Formats: sequence, C-alpha cells, structure tokens
Amino acid sequence: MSPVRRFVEEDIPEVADLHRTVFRLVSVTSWGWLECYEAYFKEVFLNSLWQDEELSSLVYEDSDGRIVGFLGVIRRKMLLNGELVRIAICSQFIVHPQKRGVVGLQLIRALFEGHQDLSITDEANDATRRIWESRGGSACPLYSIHWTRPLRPAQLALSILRRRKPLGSTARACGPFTRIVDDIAARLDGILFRQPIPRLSGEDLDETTFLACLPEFTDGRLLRPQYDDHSLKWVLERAGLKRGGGRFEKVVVRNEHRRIAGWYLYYVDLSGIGQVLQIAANGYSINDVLDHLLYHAWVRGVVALSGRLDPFFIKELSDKHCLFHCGGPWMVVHSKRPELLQAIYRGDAFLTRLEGEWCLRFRLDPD
Amino acid sequence: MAILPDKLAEEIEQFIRREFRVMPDDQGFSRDVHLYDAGYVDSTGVVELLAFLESTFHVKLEDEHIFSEAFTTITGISRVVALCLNGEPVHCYEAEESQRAGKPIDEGNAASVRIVEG
Repeated sequence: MSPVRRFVEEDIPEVADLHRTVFRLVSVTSWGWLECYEAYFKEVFLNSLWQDEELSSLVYEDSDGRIVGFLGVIRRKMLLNGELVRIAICSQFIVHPQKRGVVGLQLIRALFEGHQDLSITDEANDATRRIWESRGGSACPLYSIHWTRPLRPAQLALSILRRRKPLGSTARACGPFTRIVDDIAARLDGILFRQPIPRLSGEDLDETTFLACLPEFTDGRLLRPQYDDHSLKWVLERAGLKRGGGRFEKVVVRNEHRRIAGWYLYYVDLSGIGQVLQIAANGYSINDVLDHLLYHAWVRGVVALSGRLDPFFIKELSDKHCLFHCGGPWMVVHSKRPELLQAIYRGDAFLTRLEGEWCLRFRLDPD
Repeated sequence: MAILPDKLAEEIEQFIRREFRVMPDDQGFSRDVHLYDAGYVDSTGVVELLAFLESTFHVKLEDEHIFSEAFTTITGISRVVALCLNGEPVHCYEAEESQRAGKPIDEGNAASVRIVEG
C-alpha cells in the first residue's frame, strides 16, 4: 500500500527531479539546478512561516519507495466574518508521467482530509480542476474570470502575433507602424485609448501603509486575508523577484487631502501584457484608483493590463472597457464548511492573486 | 440475480479502447494489464472512467473502491463494480485474489490513504 506522507527536507532531490521531469526541464536546466530547487522548496514549502504540525506539503511514494507525486501546500490566514480561519493554498501539483492514474486523486484526497478550513488552488489547469472536482472540490467561476484592458491596441495585436511562428517575422516588421497607429489613437478625443491624467496622486506603497489600510478596503468582505509584518514582507518580496514579466510596481493612490484612496500592485511589462496582482479600493474610490493604474501603465509604455476579476468591481472594470474572459486558469476550492464556500461563490471574498499561488511560482534561475 | 463481471468487462474494455485511443493491434493491452502503470489511463482519465462507470452502471464508487488494488485492471474494475452492484464489500474480492496468489488476507482498509508522519 502506497502512503501519502508529509514532505520533508530529505525529499527535495527526488521532488526536484520529479519537477524537472514533469515540466520537461531536464534538457534545459543549467549547472546549479539542484541548489536552485533546494532554495525554492526550503523558502516556500518548508518555511516555518507557512507550515504547522497539521498542514504541510505532501508526497506520494510508490511501492518501491520512490516519490512519484507532490502537492505543495502553504498555510494562509484569513478572516471569515471576523473569525480566523486556516487556508491551504495549493501549488506545484505534479505526478510522474509514467505513474499517473490514482496518484493525483490520492494526493487530493489526503489534502481534503487535512485540518484546514478551506483549500484553494487558483492557477489550476483543466486537468487539475477535474481532479479536484472528482474528489469534492468545486470551481469558482467568478474568481476564474480574468480581464484585459488594451492600452496600445496595435502593439497588443503585434505582441500576440509575434508568438505565432509563421507570422513572427511579419509582426516584427510591422513594429514601427503599430507605434504610429497607437500614437494617433491616443491623441483622438473620445476614444478609450487616450488615458487622461488622473485626478489623484500616487507614490510607492510601503508595508506599513498596506497593513494599516487593508482592513478598511476589505471591511465589506465576508472573507478577507490576514497579514502580519512577516507574511506581508515575504509575499511582496516573492512577488518582486526578478522575472520575465517586468518591473514590479506597488503604488498607493491618495486624494487631494492626502487620504488614501487605494492601491494597486502590477508588473510593468513592456514586451507584453502587464499583470495586475491586486487592486484595493472601496466603492467610492475604485474609479479613481483604476484611472491612476491605467495612466501609470500607459505612460510607462505598457501595451495592455490583465488581472483576475474582483467581483466587487465588475461594473467599474466593465465601465473602463476591460474585456472579460474565462476558461483557465481556474480557481478551485474545497471546504467542509458551507459558509466558507458560499462566501466565495457569492463573490464576497477578497481573494487576489497576491493571496494565491502567484508568489509560490518556481523560477529556475536564482537572483 | 447477481451481475456477472464478464459482461461489465466487455463494456469497460470498449470504453477504454475508444476513450483512450488504444490501437486495435496493441499487443500490450489486455483486460489484465495495469492501466495506470502501462500508461493507458492517467489522472484525468481516471476521472472520466469513474464518470462512465457511475453513469453507465448506476453505481456510486467510494474511495475504498477507487483506491483498491483491484481497481487497476479491467478485470479488477469489472469485479469491483459487480460487487458494488451486488451489494458486496470490495475486500471480499481482494481476499479472494490474495488467496489465489497465496498471500495473507488483509481485510481491513484495503485502499485507505494513511497520513504517515515523515
């Protein structure tokens, strides 16, 4: 009988090898790859900040004692109507290609039998979603909707075409012309690609401000995150690690009386779409915060922004001409507490990418 | 009247051949091949197989069925389904198989997942 057990430090080399196999990195990994994996697993899945005796990452051993499956789990704290609840954020769900079958189902079953109040994976592909659903999990359509807001439409079209091999060289040749088209579009009155100068001002967001103001901007939500100095510092550092997606910006928006209207976290990606991690605002300030974000990104040359829908602001995002799409990645959840699930199904949860798997991603190259 | 596993096996085999595109001349495929180890069915394939079994044979498969040693071959799956339909516990089948193989009979928790402290 093959047990599912807690992931421990001694498992790192085997799990690292499994990860490389599953993601086909064996041929491309450079010298020092094991050290890179060791640092990653220790920092993320063996970090005492996110682990406790009852909640840990899991491995599946086959009858020969080899690790053929892994499920990364970290513990996060949230408040449900003021009550502290324990959340398991799940990531890096991998099974050896030659050992599939019930391994994944067993790992998910073991996860669901844990002591957490709620299990979440928010970057699930279709295969993962179906496995979770087969064991009693459910997809959350509202939090699986993503939005895209073009800022430079011609260059956005170009960046999409560049990824299609037959059209890549043609797309590159059209580069200068698309910039002219976008410049003209930005100068025309009454067109949505002209970004007006925002009414409010912005400055760098620091952790103290974030911690002090988060309750105000999440107060109306039934389910909301709970951070302390250490956990916030950790997620923001992980989010800010150098990555292909551009420079990480954290901007707090203030009104004319210096009162905080909200903030946003996003990546200034000049080669593609700037990903938005989090937008915090209330019903009165969201339009101003969105205006600031759109302008901030536009003056820095971003061609489009994209983020995950916060259901509270669906109208405002729509009013700003964001395009909505659904079909992955999925947010899938499981809980034995119906009130937790209802809060999420109703869209009454502050669950941004910052709270999810985004900061748990693996990067092959160290800093 | 008890449901015979052989009839179930025929339908299950046809489903697996069709759904997982098993080549007609695949010599390695049989009703006794380990579907997972041989790579015919992966994790999402198991999900599809479960949906097929439950909707076709109107049976509810629990974890003890799905994670049992028997639930790895077409022969084993058909017997598990037959046992469910006939209202018999799965470990009766596993005990029978253990006896045939000369192994000690393990009647408890044939397929439960234990969390073992690492």
